[in-house]
Amino acid sequence: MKKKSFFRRLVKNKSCFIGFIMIVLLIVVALLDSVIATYDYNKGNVTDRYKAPSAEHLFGTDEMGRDVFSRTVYGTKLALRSALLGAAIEMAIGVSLGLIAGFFGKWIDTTITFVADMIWSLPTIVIAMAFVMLLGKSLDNVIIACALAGWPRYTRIVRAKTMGLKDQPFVETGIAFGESKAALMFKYIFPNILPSMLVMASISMPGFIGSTTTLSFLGMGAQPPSPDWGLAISRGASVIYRAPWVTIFPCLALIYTIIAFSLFGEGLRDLIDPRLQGN
Amino acid sequence: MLNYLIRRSFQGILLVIAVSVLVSLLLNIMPGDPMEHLVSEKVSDEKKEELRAEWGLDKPWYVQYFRWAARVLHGDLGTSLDTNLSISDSLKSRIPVSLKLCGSALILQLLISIPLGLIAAYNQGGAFDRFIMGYSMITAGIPTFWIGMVLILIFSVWLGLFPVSGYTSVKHFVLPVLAMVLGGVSSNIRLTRSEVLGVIREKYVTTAYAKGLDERHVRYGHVLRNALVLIVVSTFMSLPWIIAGSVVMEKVFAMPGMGAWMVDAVIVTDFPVVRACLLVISVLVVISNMLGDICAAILDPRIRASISGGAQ
Repeated sequence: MKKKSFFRRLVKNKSCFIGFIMIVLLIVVALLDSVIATYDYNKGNVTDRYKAPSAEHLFGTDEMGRDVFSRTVYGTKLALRSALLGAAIEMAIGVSLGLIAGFFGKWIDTTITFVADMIWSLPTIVIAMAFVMLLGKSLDNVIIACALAGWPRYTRIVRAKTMGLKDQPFVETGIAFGESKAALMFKYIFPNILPSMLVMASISMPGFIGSTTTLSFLGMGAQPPSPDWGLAISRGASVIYRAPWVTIFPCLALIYTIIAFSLFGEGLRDLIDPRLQGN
Repeated sequence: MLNYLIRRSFQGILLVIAVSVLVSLLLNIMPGDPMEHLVSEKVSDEKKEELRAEWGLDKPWYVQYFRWAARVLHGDLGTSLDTNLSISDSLKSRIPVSLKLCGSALILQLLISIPLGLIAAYNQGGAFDRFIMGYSMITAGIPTFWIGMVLILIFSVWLGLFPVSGYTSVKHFVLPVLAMVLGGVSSNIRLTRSEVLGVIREKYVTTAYAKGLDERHVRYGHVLRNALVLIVVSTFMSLPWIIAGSVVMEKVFAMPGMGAWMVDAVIVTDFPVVRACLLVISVLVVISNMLGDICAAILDPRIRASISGGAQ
């Protein structure tokens, strides 16, 4: 019953619904990539280099004669994977540290808050780049690096909420039951902040896709012959005069994905936790 | 006021030290031989041993850190592993390029966001307001490099108005600065809008109208004057995003700034360069935060009063 009414509200919220449909389309493309793609993303004919879009090659071909349409389709799965995996890691780190800081207080709180503020005061991309250097260049490491650079966004809010909740009667009941501190944090307090955390995660997802694609674009993430959009855009950039289609189509795919997640996230926030709105 | 500035400087220095300590610490927490993370495979074994001794990697991390810090205090940031050139010398030629980019973007952002934010606030719910809110929602997640590529495509490839790369003339700076501003300006417009809306509801604004002051006077003398404090502070606080934008833009438009250098250094694992760039960036962030505080004190007598403990 409750679920149904939530779904109804979801449909009523225009931006959330449009975003939802756009994301469903993305997931379908990602799951059926081998069916939709007309060519292998890594097979090309060198004699077909830089062919303009045609019926045979919908989005044209790139520097190795590979079909840009098929590569863009295969890149969808990578983009969605980065967004979901990255948001999950970032949330796990940020929420755990926020819970610990808010629950224990004292020097633990001071330390965690200091580190979080420090990381947050520096440019995320720059921090992520430093982590990539230590971890090594790969798409997975870029996802981890972006999560390591972005967790403070959760920590501050979770810390504040935990401090407000830890003296509530239901937590005191837990203490009376002899629950361990970990159980108090994750079984009693965490469920209360989960909805707003999910909203935050969906709002931060476009930015996360942006950061990982940027790092791939800069040559730190996905390595050739990966069909990653960031990598494809950067490789197409050098021939933008001769063959703009090599860049344009992955660019459009990226912007579609980011707008989809933005619409969905902002709509979801209005539905679940309007208080998160603002700057 | 002076006391306050000294206290803020200490906090700033603490942040810079903390960042550099964290970098050293992380390097030593990473599993495996730190040498593997620091130098590319191309570096010869002899050079590796030489560097190991030079950086004191056989000693505990805090000894390594103090050695490095002592040298930095003497103005020696080490040499690049990739080019073998002095890092300080290279930074001297690269920092101005980055500062020009960041500075122009910062100023342009202020110049655009204040009038647009005012218009949006005074037409709350109107077509322009809705357009701005929609625009800022969409651009919030768009990476700067994407905007840069689109600008290149439109203005360089199709219209042929601006050069694609280089840094020698003003023309070279137009597209990168524009790309940085187009992405970052939306959050500033939103902030201006919400600040102005907040100030409009204040009692002194009602009083100003009741006194019979004309609309223009109230709008610029009372509302904007009060909203400006937070707008200016947060513009300075947004410097990290502007720096991030400039790192990417320098790479996209092939400008020899500090950001592009850091990107290249990460790709070829040139640790001393990355460490030096991080140091410079954290110093820049601290300076801009302090400038923001000083501007706030200049603009707002209340802040000035609370800083100097009530005695003006």
